[in-house]
Amino acid sequence: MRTCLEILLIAVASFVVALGVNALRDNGLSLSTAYQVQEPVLPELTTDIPTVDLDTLKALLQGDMVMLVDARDDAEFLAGHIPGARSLPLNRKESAYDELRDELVSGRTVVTYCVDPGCLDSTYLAAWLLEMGVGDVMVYPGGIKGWQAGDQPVERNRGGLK
Amino acid sequence: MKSRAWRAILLVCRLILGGVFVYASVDKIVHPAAFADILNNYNLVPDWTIHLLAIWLPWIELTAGLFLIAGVFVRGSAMVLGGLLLVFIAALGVNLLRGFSIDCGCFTTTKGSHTGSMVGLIFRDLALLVPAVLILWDQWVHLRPQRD
Repeated sequence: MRTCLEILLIAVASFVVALGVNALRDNGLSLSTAYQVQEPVLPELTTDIPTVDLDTLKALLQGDMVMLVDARDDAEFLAGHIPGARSLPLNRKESAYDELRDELVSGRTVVTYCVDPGCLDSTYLAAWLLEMGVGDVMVYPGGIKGWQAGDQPVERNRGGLK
Repeated sequence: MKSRAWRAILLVCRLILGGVFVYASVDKIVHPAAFADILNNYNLVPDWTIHLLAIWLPWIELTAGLFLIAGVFVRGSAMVLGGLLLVFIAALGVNLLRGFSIDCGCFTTTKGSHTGSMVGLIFRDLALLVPAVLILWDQWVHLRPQRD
């Protein structure tokens, strides 16, 4: 009984203080609205990032001339990605970049992709990689859907995910 | 009757466990929105609970941690912090089984700041359970006559 009272007191005291502080602070969270994912602050889209079509991408991959980077999130990547692709999700691009930095700056052309031509994450990621100093970046706008529509295989390994 | 050595061990356990949780709470209290993002990344709780947890959870850590360091409500504080560790271990374990690598948000809300593997984080939390278990074991065995 005493233990339960102590736990209850800790819970209530912390609850009251937490709500009080949250109400008084400028960056307090709203309890009347559910959590929503904040859209990341992205660089302005540049229109001069070169793109590759499916046939060109296949040729580049066969020649091992490019590093393929998947801009989708971890779950989508694990569900299936273009063989050989590395995961660099736009929603945690800084940490993923740190993990892949050596490969990204190795001199090979980096090709980004995401879901389909309607998905802009690959373009945003390409623009950001250029800002980060990665020299040669292209976008495969077809994305994983375009790849699969071309009867190409997908891979389900971790591809750089820790 | 507790020996001096055992009392010293218990004091160290209280200071380590309480200190770790007080330290862990500060950045989350300062940056509630960033902590909400981290809670969301765990994909374990519904969206409508995330703001409440992001506001409340760090203050539970701070309150129980300070009580434990001060030697006040030791049994309740150790139960709360031990319980939180079990919850953290379960949350990390579920995401490990899902194949996700997530920012644990254990000590800082800065994105991409967790180091080491998910397994390493689980072992760290398991190690922190040791002082909690020792404190609770002492409370239940040596203070049994005072119970309830």
